[in-house]
Amino acid sequence: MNEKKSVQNSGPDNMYRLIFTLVMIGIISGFVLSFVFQWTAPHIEQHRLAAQREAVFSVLPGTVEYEEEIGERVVFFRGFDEHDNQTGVAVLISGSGFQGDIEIMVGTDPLAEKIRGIKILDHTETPGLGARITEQQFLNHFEDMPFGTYQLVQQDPGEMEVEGISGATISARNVVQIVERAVGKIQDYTGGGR
Amino acid sequence: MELSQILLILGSTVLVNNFVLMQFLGICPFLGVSRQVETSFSMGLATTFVMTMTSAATWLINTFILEAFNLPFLRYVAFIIVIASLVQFVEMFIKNMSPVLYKTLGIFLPLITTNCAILGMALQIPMNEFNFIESLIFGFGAGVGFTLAIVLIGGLREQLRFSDVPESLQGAPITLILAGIMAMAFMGFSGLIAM
Amino acid sequence: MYQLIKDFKQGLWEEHPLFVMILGMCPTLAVTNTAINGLAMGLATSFVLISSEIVISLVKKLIPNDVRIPSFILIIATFVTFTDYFLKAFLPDIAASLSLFVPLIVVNCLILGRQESFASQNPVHRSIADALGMGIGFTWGLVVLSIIRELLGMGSIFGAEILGTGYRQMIFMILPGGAFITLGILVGIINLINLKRSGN
Repeated sequence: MNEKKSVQNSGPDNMYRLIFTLVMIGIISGFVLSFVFQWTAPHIEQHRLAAQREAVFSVLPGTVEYEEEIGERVVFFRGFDEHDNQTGVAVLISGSGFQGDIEIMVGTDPLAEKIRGIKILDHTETPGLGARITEQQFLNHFEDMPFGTYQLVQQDPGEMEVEGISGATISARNVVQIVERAVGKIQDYTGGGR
Repeated sequence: MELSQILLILGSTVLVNNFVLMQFLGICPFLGVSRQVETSFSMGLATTFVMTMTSAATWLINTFILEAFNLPFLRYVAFIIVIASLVQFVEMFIKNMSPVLYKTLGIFLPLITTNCAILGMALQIPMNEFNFIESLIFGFGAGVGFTLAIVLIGGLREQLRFSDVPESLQGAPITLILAGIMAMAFMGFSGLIAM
Repeated sequence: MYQLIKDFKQGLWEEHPLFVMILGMCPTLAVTNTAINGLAMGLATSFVLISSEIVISLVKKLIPNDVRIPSFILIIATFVTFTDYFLKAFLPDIAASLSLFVPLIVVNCLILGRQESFASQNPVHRSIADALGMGIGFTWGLVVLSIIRELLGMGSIFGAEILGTGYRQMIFMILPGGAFITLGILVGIINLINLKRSGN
């Protein structure tokens, strides 16, 4: 109560003091945080790169080296094995899931027009349900899948079909859609056969 | 900007990803000021108003200051200042313009600064890479979703007065259990819209 | 010394931030789906609580009364940003699973509430005792809640299988509904214990 009263009674002098205090705190805080940022940024970048590297190696088996090229809202990776032969092209792509964005690395063999493997890099799906999209059992369905559009089925997946996850139909469907989009991006990028 | 896009963002923030029941944001006012439908509605209204203004202000600050000058580490500090000063501004504005409205909303306004739904909403704008219009709709939808949840629980709690709740469950515990049942019902909306 | 112990013990049970004062509900409900998340959130919040109580009880005389709340929030936001970057840099897995809820420590009513009702009125040593007690109280509350949810929802505790592979997981427990109901029942039980105690 007395706090309200003092606001009304405060003259310009008091007003300046209030603004001065807040500005001072703001400056000190900005100063401290810029140090924190400089200190932690390289570590954060390093984790991101390590995760990316690991994902490229896992979706393009046999890769020992890769080249990175930034596309429109996606990043392409050309993988090479130890004899400098191309192992495939991977794309890092993100799309919306059930709760937030899902970030996926999709590895393909553009010559054979097949998916080689996929890996979920980041997601915010419900643990125990949607989060099961990261399980290898689900991801394995995409291995050696020809380019095209895919159907989500409950069991016994045939050609161009992916077995869904019970309780996580939406997350699984979102992954399928993102992978389809990734395939499209790769086809555009490689110009259909390079 | 298509109409379907607008409806999509609205539907997903109001129902599918309801801030209170699905994302646990804004629980404090949800438990604290939901004893009656009328006060719940006023609180919802004030929050929706501040949320819509905040979404616009944070989008501008994020795009033209934080991202333009590469200052991501100041995001939390900047956003919370924006929210605190907006609430102060709205309070002064309403006080001068409409004393009647001030009487209804006034006591809730200071509480809004610490409503985590607002900061949560502001932080999700850069995460979703919304444009200005989308941000506005997102903020408005989040407020409507909050209002829906708090009015519904207010109605349920009004009915509770006639029931025999065990002493140890009175107040917060029974409200939480009710909210749990409502959250289950809201699960039914999931999958309605895939953003 | 006696006073310090009293300040410290307050947060552990009598004025338990979660079960008695019902503060800081958002992170409590959102991140307690696994025990490791609950523990991490508890520790992160405790860190912010302790550091901001120390700073605020030190500088309280320099801050004019009228801008008290905005100043407190600014100081808290600074520590929260620090915590967020620290977790992202050194504990990336935990940072990823807590995601949005680390920045929301800023508006955790528990933290602002303790600054307002304790740190801004008491000397540093008492504020530290208070922050430690409240922090530990908040953390044990989160851990208990998350152990119950993880055990029933996934059959494990801290990621280690407990109930075996034959256990039918109660997925409901790790969903939002389960969070609300578990917390409601826990608060009810604590109320019951306190009622019984004061009745005798």
